[in-house]
Amino acid sequence: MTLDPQADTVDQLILDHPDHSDLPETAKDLIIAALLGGEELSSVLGGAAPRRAAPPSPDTEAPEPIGTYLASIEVTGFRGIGPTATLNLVPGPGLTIVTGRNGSGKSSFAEAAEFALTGQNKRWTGRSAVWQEGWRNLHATESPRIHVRLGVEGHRNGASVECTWKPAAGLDDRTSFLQISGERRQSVADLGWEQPLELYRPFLSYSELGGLLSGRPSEMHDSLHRILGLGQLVEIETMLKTARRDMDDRRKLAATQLPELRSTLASHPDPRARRAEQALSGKVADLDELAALAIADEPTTDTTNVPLRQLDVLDLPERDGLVREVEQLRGALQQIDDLAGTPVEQARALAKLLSDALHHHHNHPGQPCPVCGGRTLDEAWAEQAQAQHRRLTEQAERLDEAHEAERESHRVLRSWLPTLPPALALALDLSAEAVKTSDARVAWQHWDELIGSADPHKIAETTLVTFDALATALQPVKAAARQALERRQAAWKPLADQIRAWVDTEQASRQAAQMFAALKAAVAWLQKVGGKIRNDKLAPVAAEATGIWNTLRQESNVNLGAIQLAGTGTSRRVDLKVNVDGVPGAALGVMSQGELHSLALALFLPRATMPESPFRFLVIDDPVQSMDPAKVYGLAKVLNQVAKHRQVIVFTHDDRLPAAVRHLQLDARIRIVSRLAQSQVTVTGDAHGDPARRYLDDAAAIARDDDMADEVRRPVVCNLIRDALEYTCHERIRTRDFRAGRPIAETEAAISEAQGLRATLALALLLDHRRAGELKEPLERLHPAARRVVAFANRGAHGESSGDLAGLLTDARAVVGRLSQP
Amino acid sequence: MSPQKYLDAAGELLIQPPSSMRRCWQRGSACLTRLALEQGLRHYWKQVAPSVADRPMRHQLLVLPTFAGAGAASRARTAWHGLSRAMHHHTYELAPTVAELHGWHQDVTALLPQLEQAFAARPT
Repeated sequence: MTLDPQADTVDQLILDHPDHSDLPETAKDLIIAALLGGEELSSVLGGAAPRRAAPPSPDTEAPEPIGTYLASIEVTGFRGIGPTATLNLVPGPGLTIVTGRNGSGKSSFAEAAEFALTGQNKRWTGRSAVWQEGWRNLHATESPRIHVRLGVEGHRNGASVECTWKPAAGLDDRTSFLQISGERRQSVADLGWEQPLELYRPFLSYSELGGLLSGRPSEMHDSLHRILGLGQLVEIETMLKTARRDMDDRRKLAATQLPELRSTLASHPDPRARRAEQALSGKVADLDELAALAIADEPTTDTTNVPLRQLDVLDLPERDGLVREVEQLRGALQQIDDLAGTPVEQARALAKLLSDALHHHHNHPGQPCPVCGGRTLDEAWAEQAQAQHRRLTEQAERLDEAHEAERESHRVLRSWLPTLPPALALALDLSAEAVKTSDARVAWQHWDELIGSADPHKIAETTLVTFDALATALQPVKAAARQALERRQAAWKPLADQIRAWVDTEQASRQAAQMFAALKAAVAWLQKVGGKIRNDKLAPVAAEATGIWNTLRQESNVNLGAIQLAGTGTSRRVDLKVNVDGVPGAALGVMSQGELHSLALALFLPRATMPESPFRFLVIDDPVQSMDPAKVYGLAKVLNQVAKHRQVIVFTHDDRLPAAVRHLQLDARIRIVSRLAQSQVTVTGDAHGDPARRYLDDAAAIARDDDMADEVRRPVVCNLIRDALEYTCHERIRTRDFRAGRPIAETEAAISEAQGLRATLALALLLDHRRAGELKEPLERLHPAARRVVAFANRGAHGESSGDLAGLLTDARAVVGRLSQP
Repeated sequence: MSPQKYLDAAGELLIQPPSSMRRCWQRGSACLTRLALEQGLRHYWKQVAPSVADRPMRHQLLVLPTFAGAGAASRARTAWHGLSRAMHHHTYELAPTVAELHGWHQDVTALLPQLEQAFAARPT
């Protein structure tokens, strides 16, 4: 059971407050976020879009919690009670006064109930061990046991709380459990009473009455605050204040971190550090530039960076390809060598000559050679020449091809590597980065020289060696370049991180600065408005307390003025203003002890009767002490008033309160606790304990007064008998309805709806006040004289009746007796 | 003496007790106030229900609601029981305070005209 039904109201009060207008939008958002809880507040502080609380609909009122009443308190071996004694109570609104002399054990009932339900007792807590050790009854033969039966609204048989101790166990070594009829045993904590007990504590002892006002001012302030459901106000104020402090710290954070960043930047060689310094130099730091710098790659403008990057990616072509190319070159050269001695031109010229000769032979066969004039160029020659011509042509072509291949290989090899890259150029000195390029440069130059040479044989022979030498020389250069680059990156990275972190911090700080201002406004507003809300909410309670005080004080010359919650933090307090004979003063200073007790009671009663409280009972132990007799009358009236809607159980050690109840003819039940030897405690009804009986006794006194005129006595006796009947009917209805699990409010409404004796009887006997016409039979069943008594009570009250008063009274007693047995 | 005269005398005692009564002016005042109440009631009963006039006060107070209504009866009860307690000696109790006496005095002062009106309004 989470009980904070007024929380919505606080929300509502804050949200609806007309002073909203002077509040900046952000501050408003923050207050609303705080109302929604810490998480929402931090997300709004973090820049999240504020959520607007859906305003709680004003017409759904928080339902009242399930009311609980005390049905009986059964005590064994606890405090002043030895053998089991039971105090039976009527679960439902009404005033019960338990009287008993000092030491009779009446307070033991109150303490037992308080202890069983709350696990503590205000009278002993904080006392020395001597007080707490005496809790066991000295005469008890059984183990101590407390059994409190509860009447729970809407539960037919209610519940009970039992508290037992093993022999020789300490006060706190108890076993207690809650039993709701028809359900399993539960822990008492399942009642969910922890918070309500704190808020609406229904137990009040004499010593507490004194303590209520003599405690620290802040305690009273806090307890009133909690009762009023204003805890949330404090909560959100604290939340906002904490946030304000956080924001205050955060908004200064970037500024405090700035010098460190500056000095790191100044000592860093990276050119980006310069630009970062530039970005920071303005009045407001250029965060975009800084953020860009933090993630920027190495700058391209740097003179050494490009060569290093080039070196890093400087890869030579595959060696396999080169090997193939060299093979081809070698093949071509071999072919050329093989064809040595047949120079191409000569072979071609010869081939041409032969071709011309063959042509000539073809036209002029059988002629001698026109060149040498010798041999005849016959068919045989022609054939031979033909063959030679073919061979020579072929030879020339092959040689051409070989040369072509050689040239092609040469060309490929020349473009196999690019020209010496600028990164390796002599002009560039990378020794600062521990990159030694000279070997590689020399190797590259060797290659260039080789490839540039005209000697294809040399090329064919040394290309691979030169290439390998170059690759070997290049390897460390590349590695060194990579390392240098990595070194640079490594040197920049932390700084980049630092810049990025600072940018984040600065952004947060700027946001925090805004939030801080908003929070300041929010807190200031809340304190102003909170003060008003506090006292607005306090007003009805204060008015009730003042009303109670005015009834209690019975013309004491102290006039209770405004009750206000004042101050904040450690100086918070409740201001009780009073007027003493018209002169204003502070209550606590001018009031007597008795008056203070009355005042404490005046403050306690509204607290314990808040509609939000699940406790429909109040246990007040000895409020009469140190009260003037006249105040007792006031007290009786106040208690009677409270008892209209609450079960009020008052323990008192003398007869003043019962006497006041009798004198004022209040409907209070009176029980007497008496203690025999060996702590045997008995609870009995007073001779005047039952209001119905008191009415009948009064009626009897008048009936016996023969000197009084009959026409006077009759209506009075009738009235009193009617009062007795109606009271008994009400008790019967309440008890029956309660057992049936009917909500008390309904019962009380039904009772007040039943106007007049017959309607009330109809409600009691026929469950419906409108069935008054059908009373004949149930009344006859109730008691033979019932109809006569009722008729008399009804008619007599209206002035016309006759008959024997004494006999009538005897019958009335019998009828009331039957009526009171459900 | 009329009820009003008793009341006046009691009121005077409250404001300026004579030196001869310096120990007992509270009880004196209570006594006079109660007398005023009783006289007022007697006067009332004489008009309304003569047989009640000389009956014990408890009986008169029990009869009163029937005739004068619950409010007046409650007021009379409070005042009479309070005054009775005040004017008798109780071993462990001190004399009533001026404030208390004032209260009862005011009650009775308010009650008397109420009773007058009550029976003036009755047809018989």
